[in-house]
Amino acid sequence: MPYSPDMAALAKRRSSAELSRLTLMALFARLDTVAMTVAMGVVFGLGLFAMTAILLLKGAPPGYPVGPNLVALSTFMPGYSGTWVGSLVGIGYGFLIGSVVGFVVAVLWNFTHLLFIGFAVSRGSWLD
Amino acid sequence: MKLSNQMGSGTAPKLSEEQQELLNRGIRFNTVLMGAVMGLGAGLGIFLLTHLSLLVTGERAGQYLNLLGIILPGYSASAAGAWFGLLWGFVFGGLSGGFIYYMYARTIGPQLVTAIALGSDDRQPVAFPTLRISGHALGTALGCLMALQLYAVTLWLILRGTAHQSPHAALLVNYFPGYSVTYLGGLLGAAYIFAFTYVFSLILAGVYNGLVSKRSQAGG
Repeated sequence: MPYSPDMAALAKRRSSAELSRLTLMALFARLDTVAMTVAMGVVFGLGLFAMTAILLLKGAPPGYPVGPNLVALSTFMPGYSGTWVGSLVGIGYGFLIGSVVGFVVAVLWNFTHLLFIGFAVSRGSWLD
Repeated sequence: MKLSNQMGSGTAPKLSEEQQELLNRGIRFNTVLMGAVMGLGAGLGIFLLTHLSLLVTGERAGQYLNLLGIILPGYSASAAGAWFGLLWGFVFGGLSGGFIYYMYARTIGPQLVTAIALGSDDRQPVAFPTLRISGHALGTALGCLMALQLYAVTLWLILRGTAHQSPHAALLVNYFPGYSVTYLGGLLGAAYIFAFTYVFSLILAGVYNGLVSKRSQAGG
């Protein structure tokens, strides 16, 4: 479905009643579950990679491991380590964890809104 | 037609007093809703992670998780402690969620009304349009929350007199040069974490809005 290019201009053109409807629609707009899942996955993946990469670039004294506290995550993420290869594995795990978080946030947000709207409509009230 | 990914570039619509009141009520409602969602997520997250950690690592689970007990009284890496985690997670998660939405809505202002994607026939009664995210507003809200939380935790470590026994907190210097568990170090850390969070929020919004746009075009 194509989208309007400029919502601000659209809002300015609208009558008062339409603007009220637009306000309500904006307040109860749904999160795109797929987009939120992917976006959070990307951010978590990049985040874990950046955290590992910064430690790798700083290095550790000879004989000491890089980032032993961060690398403790390997208990839950087999294959992850304080190496460049491990940091790439971390992108995958970060993406996976972020995706789950994003999916849950989007589903809960949409579900609770739907629940409220259903409740409000059944009671005949709206934001009272 | 294409959905613009740039938020905040247009002019904000002029709302009447009544519409502004409607917007304010909606913001208050969504603030509570976001608080409930985040509180539930954080509480259950801590509860389940504690049990998962106990299951996977056994007694070693407390090595890192017990540190949470410094800011969540009663919490420990144990079955009983997990219930305190659930409670505190709900409280802190709820407050954080409410703060994020309120701050987001106040930063974006009346442009919140235009932060949605409608169909090409804009007069069509679309019940549930898709939300678009303002990277700037999200970055400001999340950045402020993270900065406040980091400073509050630093302050708490100083006030309880364990600043010098906080090696894990001090490790943040790896990411935030100049950070230390001191009043000034906390401020520096807060500034750094705000900047990092802002950048990651821009990435999040960019990917999200881009996908919303692509999916809408594919669907049309």
